[in-house]
Amino acid sequence: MPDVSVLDTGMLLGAIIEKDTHHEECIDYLLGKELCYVTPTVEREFESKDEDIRSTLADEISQHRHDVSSEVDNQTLSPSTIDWIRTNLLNRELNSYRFLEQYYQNLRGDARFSTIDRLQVITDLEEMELEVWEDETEEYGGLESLVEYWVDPIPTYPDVERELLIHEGDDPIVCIEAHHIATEEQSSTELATTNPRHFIRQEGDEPETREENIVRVTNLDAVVNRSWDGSV
Amino acid sequence: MDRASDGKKIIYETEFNKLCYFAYKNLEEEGYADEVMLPMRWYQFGMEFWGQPEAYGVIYQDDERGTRVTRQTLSESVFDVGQELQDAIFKVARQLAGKYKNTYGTDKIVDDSYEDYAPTEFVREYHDFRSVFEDLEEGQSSLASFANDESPDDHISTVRPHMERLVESYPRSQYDEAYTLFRQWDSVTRQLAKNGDLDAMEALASDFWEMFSRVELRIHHQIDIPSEDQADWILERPRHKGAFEETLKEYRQIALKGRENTDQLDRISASYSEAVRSIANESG
Repeated sequence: MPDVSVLDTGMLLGAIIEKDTHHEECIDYLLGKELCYVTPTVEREFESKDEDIRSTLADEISQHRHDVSSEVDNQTLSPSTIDWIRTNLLNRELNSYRFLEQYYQNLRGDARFSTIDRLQVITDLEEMELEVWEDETEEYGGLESLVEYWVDPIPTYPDVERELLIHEGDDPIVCIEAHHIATEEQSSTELATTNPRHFIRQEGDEPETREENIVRVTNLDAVVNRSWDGSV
Repeated sequence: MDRASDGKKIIYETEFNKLCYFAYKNLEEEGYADEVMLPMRWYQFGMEFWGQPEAYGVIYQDDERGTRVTRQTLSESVFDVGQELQDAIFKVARQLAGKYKNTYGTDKIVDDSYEDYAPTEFVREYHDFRSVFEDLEEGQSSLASFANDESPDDHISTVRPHMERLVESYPRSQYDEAYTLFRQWDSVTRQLAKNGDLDAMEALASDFWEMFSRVELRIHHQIDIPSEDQADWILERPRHKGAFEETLKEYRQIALKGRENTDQLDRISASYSEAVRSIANESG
């Protein structure tokens, strides 16, 4: 098993967000590794996405809570009032639509057996707004305790880049940065990802899998998939 | 006021500002709004006079209680207005001096200003919300609360009704620039109340209202402010919003540190996770 690991952005998001599907896989991986590097591109991308995800979801939930406060007068919510909220106060365009819809579906089920107070819904939404900001790596001393940030300059590798099949977004740059770290470290190095479509599988009429391609053209020894496959 | 109280009444800036505004509103009702030309703006603690006080015949001096306002000897030219308006000014001045010459402190005049002239229901509700800190501090220090072992639960049950009234009264289309920040402040404030962190809640409320006064109140609720000052205030909006966003981040961390774990997202974690990954794939 390689000694050194380079993480993609999804690994970091999975590690810090407990409710993320890949959380267990990612945090277990980070805790089990001696040395996990974060490349400059991944660091920048992670910071931007982390803030974007949390602020977007917290803002949508708080907006919805304000709508409930302003539009719902009943102190007790009957199943039909819950349905009214689902129909009139949940916008399908929202990123939060599916999980808020799921929340109300559960609540509707609960309403068959007990009274649902408006205050309970307000309180539940308040709690969700703060849960969105939780950082699950804090109990291990924070992300900084689990990873190393690569700070030295990284040159270009045009020959390697030309042969890479991966082309989505900043992913090729991450591969080049991982290749450089593998070259410098001179010990067995792997790239860990939660995105098998971009980094592992064969796509379309490409002649080999992305994993085979990355291992063939870079100095990386392996590409590991740490996405949760649905098994328990 | 000076004459009505035989020189006994000391007037502080807060009271002076309110008196000026009351006088303006009285004169406005009598049809003199266009002739008064006294620049005023709504700010953190109500309507306030805007400009150099010397130009309007008063001097500001700080003392141990606040900023004291004294009148200068006024020349006749200050009253170079029509006889009809001059009579109306004297009349309203006598009325207000009679009403407030015997009041001590500024609570009554401040409350009156919000009761009669708050520009929106939301501003009036925020004035009420400020009293929550006094109520909670008194409750915290009282023997009764000590004996009853009052917990932070009591803080949120005191604060939440105020916050709900603020949410319900917020005029979204009018104060749209600060609406997102209002929601974020509301969210963090409720958590600080749950944590029982009164000091942080009070400090954050003060910062919020300062930002809100700069971004919304002084721009929407003003009288005869020079257009170049108004233009400056509009240009300054992003700076004040940005500074408050940074403040909110700090207080959110404080709120998260003192927070008891909850599990609302656990029951819906699969669909929550999809939302997280969807935003991650879309952004950056």
